[in-house]
Amino acid sequence: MDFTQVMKIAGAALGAQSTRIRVIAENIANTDTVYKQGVEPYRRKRVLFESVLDRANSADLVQVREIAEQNSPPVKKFDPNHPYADSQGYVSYPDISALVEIADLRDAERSYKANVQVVEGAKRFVKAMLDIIR
Amino acid sequence: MVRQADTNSLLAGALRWLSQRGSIAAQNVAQADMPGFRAKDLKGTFAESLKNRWFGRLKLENTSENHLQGLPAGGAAVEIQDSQPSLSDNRVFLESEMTKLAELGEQSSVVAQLYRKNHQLMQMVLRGQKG
Repeated sequence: MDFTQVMKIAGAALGAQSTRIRVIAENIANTDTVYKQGVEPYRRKRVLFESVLDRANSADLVQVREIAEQNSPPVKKFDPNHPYADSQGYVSYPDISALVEIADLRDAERSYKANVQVVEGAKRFVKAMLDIIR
Repeated sequence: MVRQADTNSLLAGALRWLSQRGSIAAQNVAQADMPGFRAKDLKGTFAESLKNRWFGRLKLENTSENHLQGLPAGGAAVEIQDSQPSLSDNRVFLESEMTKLAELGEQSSVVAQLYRKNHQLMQMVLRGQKG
């Protein structure tokens, strides 16, 4: 495989998956960030990928198009003694499920590792080629 | 030694095929999360690439109207047909791509070794060495 081309492809994918993992980590960290009056609430973030043609290497590179915020309504829990409870005694939390985030994290990790393997494969290929002239 | 030259072009063709297939596999793995992406692969087998002295280039994908028309496809990359779409309509199996890459690594190692041995053979002939 054209080593430069494969490095660009895998490198772009690694970067994109890395961003995805970071966003998942943010979501998990903010699972219990309570909605407070007058403060912008935390909304679940999602990474949107896009495919960009790199003409110089004739490859489709994966890139993060945007990190979008999900517009789902908050999860309400009844807790009238909470300092941030509203008039009905409900406290609002962002609509984030740790299980969903962790499943997403596993998927991102798997993709990340697969791309690392691709780089390793390209390195082996180059090594085999260099062995010809040894 | 016309036969030796034939072996060279044979092996070179095989290396090109393996290299091209590896690039496509890398692309598949990179796009494993893109919604609507279909996994691609080269037509034919390794044995066929040896027989046909494979020489081709990937056709550039046109993802927007502003892209120039790509190079003519010698060995075309085709979509893998019998794959189950995921929820986001993505059709890449990471496992099969990984095994494919491992296989390509083995095959390229073998071809490189054969290429080297062939070269050594030619050198031996030219120098007039015995055994």
